[in-house]
Amino acid sequence: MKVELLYAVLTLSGGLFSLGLLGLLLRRNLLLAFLAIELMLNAANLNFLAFSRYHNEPTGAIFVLFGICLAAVEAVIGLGLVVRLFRAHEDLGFTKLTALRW
Amino acid sequence: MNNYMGILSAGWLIIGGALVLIAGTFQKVRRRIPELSIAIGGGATLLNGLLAWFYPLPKSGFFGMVWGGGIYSFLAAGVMLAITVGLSFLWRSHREGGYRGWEAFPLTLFIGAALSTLPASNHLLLSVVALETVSLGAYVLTGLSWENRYAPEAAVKYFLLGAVGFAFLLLGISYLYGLTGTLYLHHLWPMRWTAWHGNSLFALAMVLIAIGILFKLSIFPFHWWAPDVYGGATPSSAGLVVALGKLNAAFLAGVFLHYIHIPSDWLMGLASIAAISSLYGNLGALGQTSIQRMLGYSSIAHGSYILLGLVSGPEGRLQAWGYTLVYALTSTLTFGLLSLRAEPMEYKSLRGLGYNQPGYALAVAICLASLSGMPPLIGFFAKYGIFTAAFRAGYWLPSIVALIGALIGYFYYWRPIAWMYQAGEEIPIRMPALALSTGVLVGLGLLPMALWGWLDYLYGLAGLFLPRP
Amino acid sequence: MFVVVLTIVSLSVCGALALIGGALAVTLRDPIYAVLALVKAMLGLAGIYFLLGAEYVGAIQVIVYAGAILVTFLFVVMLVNLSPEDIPPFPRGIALYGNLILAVAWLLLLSTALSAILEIPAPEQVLLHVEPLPYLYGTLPPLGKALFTAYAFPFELLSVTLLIGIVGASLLVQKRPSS
Repeated sequence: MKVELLYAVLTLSGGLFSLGLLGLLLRRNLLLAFLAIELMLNAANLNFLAFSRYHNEPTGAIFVLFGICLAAVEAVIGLGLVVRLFRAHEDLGFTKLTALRW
Repeated sequence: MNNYMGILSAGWLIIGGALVLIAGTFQKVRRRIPELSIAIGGGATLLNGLLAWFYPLPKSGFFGMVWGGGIYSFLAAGVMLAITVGLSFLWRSHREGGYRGWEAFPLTLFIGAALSTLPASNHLLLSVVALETVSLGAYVLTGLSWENRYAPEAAVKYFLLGAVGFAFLLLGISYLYGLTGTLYLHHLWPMRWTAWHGNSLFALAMVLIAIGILFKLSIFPFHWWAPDVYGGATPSSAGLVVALGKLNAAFLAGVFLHYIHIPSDWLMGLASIAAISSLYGNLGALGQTSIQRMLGYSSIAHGSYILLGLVSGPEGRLQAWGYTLVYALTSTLTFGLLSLRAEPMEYKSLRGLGYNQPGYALAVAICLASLSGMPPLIGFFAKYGIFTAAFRAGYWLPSIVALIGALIGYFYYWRPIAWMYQAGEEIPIRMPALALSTGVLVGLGLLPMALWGWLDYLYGLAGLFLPRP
Repeated sequence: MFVVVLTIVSLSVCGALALIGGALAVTLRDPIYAVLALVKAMLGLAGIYFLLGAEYVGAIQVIVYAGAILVTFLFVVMLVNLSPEDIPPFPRGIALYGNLILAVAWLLLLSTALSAILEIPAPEQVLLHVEPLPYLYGTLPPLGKALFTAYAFPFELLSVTLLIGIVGASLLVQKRPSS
């Protein structure tokens, strides 16, 4: 794989990570912040795959498979927490989470 | 060729946890689940202790993926001891809560399986899987309580920041993989790292990994969540949550610092961050009125001592791991003991406890004194080891600043003790209680020296003191 | 030559899809549209995975990420009745521009650091063992072989992670005790 192509893919993943970070900073809602985190995890996955192609070695591809699985479990726990918080407060805004001084 | 010692502990806990999970589906057996889980956790402690005793030389196994025996079994035994203690405190609150949420017991056993694998891992993929498994379990344990209305919020906050930290860590590891083309730690060890020290991609990878780990360890720029999360967590499992977070971060950071050659001025920077963090955590804890929140702030300070040890060379990493095990055990005990009372964890509610329930108050006092680092207690030896290693590594200024922070710590840890022995009415001080407390203080202080010597011996056998090629 | 141009064009299209999807996911007010935009980003990423030669990973990306995780998101959005009116608007003024400047600065820093990849030392200069593979990395045979030999233990541990997810979710979504 050409290094220039690798650079292009890495820049794309950097852009996705930055978008996720921006969303996390700007979105004042739990679910949407969580959506931004998914974007950040995907940026890391894209990096792994690009480097795996570059080295022609399967570790990165396997890491992506594991990463997808971990993200799935994370989504389950996160959404479970969202439901729990909803049951406790009926409201999911960051701004309303005043009890612990966000 | 294939050595199964490394997965013995994890296998025991996974099978045991699955058994508990199956047993819990039967209504009649459900009452016995805590006892069963504690037996399995205690069995894992014993198993790992025996492995460490009989196989002091660690062996690589399972396609070179995981280490077993020696230091790794020792660390797993320490981890499982803290987790078993945490389980026994869950038991009490569980019985009072009418056996709802029994799933927390198998969950904790599964966390133990992952956490005892983390230090023994020989591949960053396994480390990441173990780390994330422990973190996910900790998020759940944080938010369990219905009585404490802050618990779900604390769990959500912990989850969001933990997930962000994990994303940073993953991105950093991806750049590391790009540089090296391998994630096997024994491949990373002999690399010529100095060739990369000027490379900006290496710097980026290290900074991202550091951000991820400092988030987990709650060190200065990424610390602000710790008082809220630990202060708002479900009281009966808060000690476990604190212990899991610190163990997780300390083991992973130790692995990175051992296998990757990091420029010494960066290590100095990390030591300075640790010093700032120690001051911040200790000063923040000074003004609190709730014990749980105070312990939350002080966990920032304890994280800073751990970091200070981790950056101080092989000797310091050994001390930092020992400190983390001691801190995990003591904080689980402290939070657990405090959660046994129905009253909120305010200083005021402790008034006169030393006279009404002298034995209980003494136990709490000993735990707090050990956390503060009182000389005859195990907490003192742990802190002493960290600071000696840091001084020996040449981090004079950060060590002195962190030491000042630790001295501030004496004040706020003694405040709840003072409240406990502050009588509303005049009750004379009972001599037997004092004698007993002195006895236990000295007894606990004598034991750790043997344990420390053993840890040192196993650490050396595993080749973790070896100089870089 | 034609194949190279085709690859570059398809990569650009997929990359643009991923970026636009991501940008929409973090800006749209309606949470359902935001989740759907993220599905679009995931599909774009899956396309890139295919083009990088990892067909299996690309398929998993579509099935698990776009198909399972984000659908669960949609379910939860509907379960908690999250409507666009519940979403607070973006902060204005210093909070907005400060964060934007922060993100752009971060991106610039990242791409500067990444340009070091162009003069990365060749692996044989820094690695002690280089074992080149006789096959392409992303196809199913090397992945399957690695997954069930060298990576067997992490794979088993991952099942524990999934179990923690199941047990944890069942703990979290219990009803509040009536007493």
